[in-house]
Amino acid sequence: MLRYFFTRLLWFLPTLWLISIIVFFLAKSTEGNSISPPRFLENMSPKQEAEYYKTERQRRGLDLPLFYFSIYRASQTDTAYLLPERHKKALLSLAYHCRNWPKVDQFYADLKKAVFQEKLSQIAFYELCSSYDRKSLEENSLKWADQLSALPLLAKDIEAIQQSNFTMLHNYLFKINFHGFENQYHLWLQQIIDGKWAHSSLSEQDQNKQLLRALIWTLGMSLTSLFLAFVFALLLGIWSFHPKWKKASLYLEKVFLGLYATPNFLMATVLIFFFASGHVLKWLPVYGIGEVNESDSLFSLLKLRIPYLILPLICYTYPVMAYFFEQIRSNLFNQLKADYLLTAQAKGLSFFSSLQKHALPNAIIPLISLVGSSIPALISGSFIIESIFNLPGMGKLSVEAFLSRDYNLIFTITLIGAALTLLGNLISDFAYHLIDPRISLHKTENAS
Amino acid sequence: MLYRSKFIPIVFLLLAISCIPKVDKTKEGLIIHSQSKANDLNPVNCRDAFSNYLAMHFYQTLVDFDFKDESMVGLIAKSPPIKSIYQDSLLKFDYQIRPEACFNDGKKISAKDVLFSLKAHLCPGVNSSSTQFFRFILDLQIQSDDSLSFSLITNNLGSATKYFSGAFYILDARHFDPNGILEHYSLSEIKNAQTTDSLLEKFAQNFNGNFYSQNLNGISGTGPYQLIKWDKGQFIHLSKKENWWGEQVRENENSFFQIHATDIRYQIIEDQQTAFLALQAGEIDFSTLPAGQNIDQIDRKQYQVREISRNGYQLLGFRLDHPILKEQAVRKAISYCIPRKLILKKLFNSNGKLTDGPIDASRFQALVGNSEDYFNLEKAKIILEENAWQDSDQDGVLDKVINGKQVKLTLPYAYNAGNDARKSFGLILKQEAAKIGISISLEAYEWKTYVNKLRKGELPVFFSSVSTNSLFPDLSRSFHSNGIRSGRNLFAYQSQLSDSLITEMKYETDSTQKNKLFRSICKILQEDQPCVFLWSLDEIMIAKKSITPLYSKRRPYYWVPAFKKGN
Repeated sequence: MLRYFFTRLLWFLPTLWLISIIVFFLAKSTEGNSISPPRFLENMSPKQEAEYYKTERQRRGLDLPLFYFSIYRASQTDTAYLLPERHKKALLSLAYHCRNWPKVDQFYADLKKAVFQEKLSQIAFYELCSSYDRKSLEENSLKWADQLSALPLLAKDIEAIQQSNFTMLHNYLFKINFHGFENQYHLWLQQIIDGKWAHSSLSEQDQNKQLLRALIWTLGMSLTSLFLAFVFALLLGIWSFHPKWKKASLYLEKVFLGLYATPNFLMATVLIFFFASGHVLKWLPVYGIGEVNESDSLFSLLKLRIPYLILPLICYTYPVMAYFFEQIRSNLFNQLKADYLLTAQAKGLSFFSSLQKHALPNAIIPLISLVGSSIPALISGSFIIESIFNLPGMGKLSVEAFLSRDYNLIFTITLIGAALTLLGNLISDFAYHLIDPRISLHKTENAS
Repeated sequence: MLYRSKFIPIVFLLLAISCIPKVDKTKEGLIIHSQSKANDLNPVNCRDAFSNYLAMHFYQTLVDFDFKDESMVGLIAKSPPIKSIYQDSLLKFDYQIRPEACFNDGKKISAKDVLFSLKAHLCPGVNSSSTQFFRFILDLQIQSDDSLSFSLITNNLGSATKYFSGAFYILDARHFDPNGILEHYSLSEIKNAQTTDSLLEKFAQNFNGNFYSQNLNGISGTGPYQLIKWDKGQFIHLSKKENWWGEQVRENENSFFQIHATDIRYQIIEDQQTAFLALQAGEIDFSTLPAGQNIDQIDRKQYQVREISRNGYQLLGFRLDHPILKEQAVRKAISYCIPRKLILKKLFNSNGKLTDGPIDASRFQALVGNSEDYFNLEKAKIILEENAWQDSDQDGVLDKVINGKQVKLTLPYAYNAGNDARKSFGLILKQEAAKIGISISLEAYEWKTYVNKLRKGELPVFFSSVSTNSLFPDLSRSFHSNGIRSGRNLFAYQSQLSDSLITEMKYETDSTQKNKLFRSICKILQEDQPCVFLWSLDEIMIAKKSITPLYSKRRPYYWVPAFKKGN
């Protein structure tokens, strides 16, 4: 067992690392970036605007290459991440058609210089930058010939692009460029190792406190709801087999089915309406988590928080409880046909006692894998419930991080989720073995 | 054993109910609902609208627009500056600081403090989105360090330069720069400095840190409030300072000195429905709703409702470099397919007014005139027929030969996912356009992706909202061809005549002439139709009857410090 434990742990870090790379590239490939337009943009010159974006990229590390190395076409560039989104597609397309990125790069640099020096109008700059092949470049340069006539460098650049005679082969040859440790992925990894788990790439401030708080809240609510769901589902599942409760259990099954089908955001609004809004009852508060002071004792803290948590806890618990209840009942039904149960009853045990003492442990085993696989959901929280009740949980934090493209926070949250999922699977594997020692952790033993 | 314990859950439930303490309703002060949360209260670095609004509670600029009547008024400055021409195209603004204005410890604010504040805004490395912008201020001239008079020399940014010259926050150097780093640099040295300067880097690192953005002691300025408690994402609690210097100023001078709310709690509730229920439960005193919400359920005996026309407008935009949309006839035809009045009534409960120009509806009405609904499908059909659009293959969709190719009149309409109103608008447009042979398909994008595609010009037909402010609209990016490069001109609209009028209007200081230029521009835009101007929506504000709010046309359409509680 120890050998299995250490083997699993050894695979832990490489798995996490692989997940982090996949998430990194997935997040970076989404459209949109975290740089918001500057204030007073209408009154900034093109040079000031360019300076602003350059500074913002530098601050966020977005001026670094993405990874330790990059693979790119020989006719293009590995620094495409530095190009403004608006011009990137056209410039790369132009490079593809003329098969010569250095010429296109020079052309773009001279265009920028000309517009910063106000020797070229902004609309001419835009249209020339939007040239996606040699034909459109020729059309645009003819259109703005009067301005280009005063810019011999630019004219020369355009001629160089038109006369570029690299073959199509350049579009199908690939180059690899190694960037060393100066890249965005490594920067983020370094921050994680330095303990800056939640260094926001937007505000450049440490959000460790917020992240820890969100984690505590989400884990607290999720584990509590999981525990309550398990306990209640177990009790009700067993009682539903008691002869006295047979009729009631039929109704109970339908009630749980209905609950399972009810979306939790709808339940949340209904609960608030009935118990908090004052329309029917005013037993509980509508939103929030209450206000506590740092000097409050644990008892005072709980006493203050509990009214705020009752309704969200109900919303978290009921669908899980309904699901567990169905699973337990179904598993117990399957166990009813087993020989050992008949033997136990033949030896004098009542039906219900044999169910409790013998069938139940076997029926619970499949639930353990359910608990292990529900850990990602526990960590991710529920964005909708957290929004409705204004809970500072992981669901809200992760959605906000993604919507604002706070990449550092996105990666960290995903990594935490992945780590806890791997841990959850490990725990459920061991729990299987503990509950039923017949279940082996090694494949070879199982095969024989 | 288990069946005997059937009473356990009942006992547990009774225990739980008995443990529920009473909800605390005794909180004093005003509880104001906010849908968005503040991230950073450093006045120089904050980037979201709510943080900017909150910063006004703790810090002050030289001048600002009064919440009451949107006139420019003095805050730290006694009054708006006196403007004069300096040299060639440079401007000079003479300021006078209020003699009462002082920091928390009573130290009077002088021109030296204004100089420090400007340096802090311009320092390289400071995480501000306006550092580059304030470089238009070229120099600050003072006679002596403790002088209350100073002059700013600036570039000419148009008629709004007067406001911009005083739009930076006044900061206490002893608090923000305890090591006196910026004192060793002149203004021009700061402007020319590189981010690699180690001392300035040290200042910037310190300035950008958590202390000045989130710490109770760090958030401290000349404004009327102090931060009591801030639970990020939950609430922010402020209370009025005792012996605030502004109390020496005559109360009716402007709304920034009418501070009646002694205790304010901004409660963050992102879900609108929850906020509405909380208001009805009496847990919040004031809330806002977007246009279109059903407010019939509100008990008018307990609450007062007010609708304020928002500063801004909505439009349906066209990308003029699209092969189909470059035809004016198509754009005009689509504009005739939009029943604006009906949509306003059905989708927004008539909480809004039509506009036909790049300005909010109330100002459009004052400057240009009334807006009428020009919905007319027959006219749309005729325009398309006259421009050779016909249904040659009888499939219900018009077509035409363009550049030798048969092109169908099909267009995608883009909106941001999750916005039901924009989706419904698209469905109505699709339905009406189909009647005249235009096929519209709906495309929803996640918000950031939507904005990115919009700026890159990848969305041929799109829904957009434009926010304006108290200044006269500056169209030099949104409708000028210069704005195409930066992506602000979402339509790729170019017109030499319009460009020259927009530039002239920007620098025109005579209001009559400015209005005349604006009317001419509106006419050109209505003719060229780069977009269809739709409407300005209302903001619905609900307050308990025991409160006397100060409503404003200025975003966020209210000024809480001036709210009065109790009759």
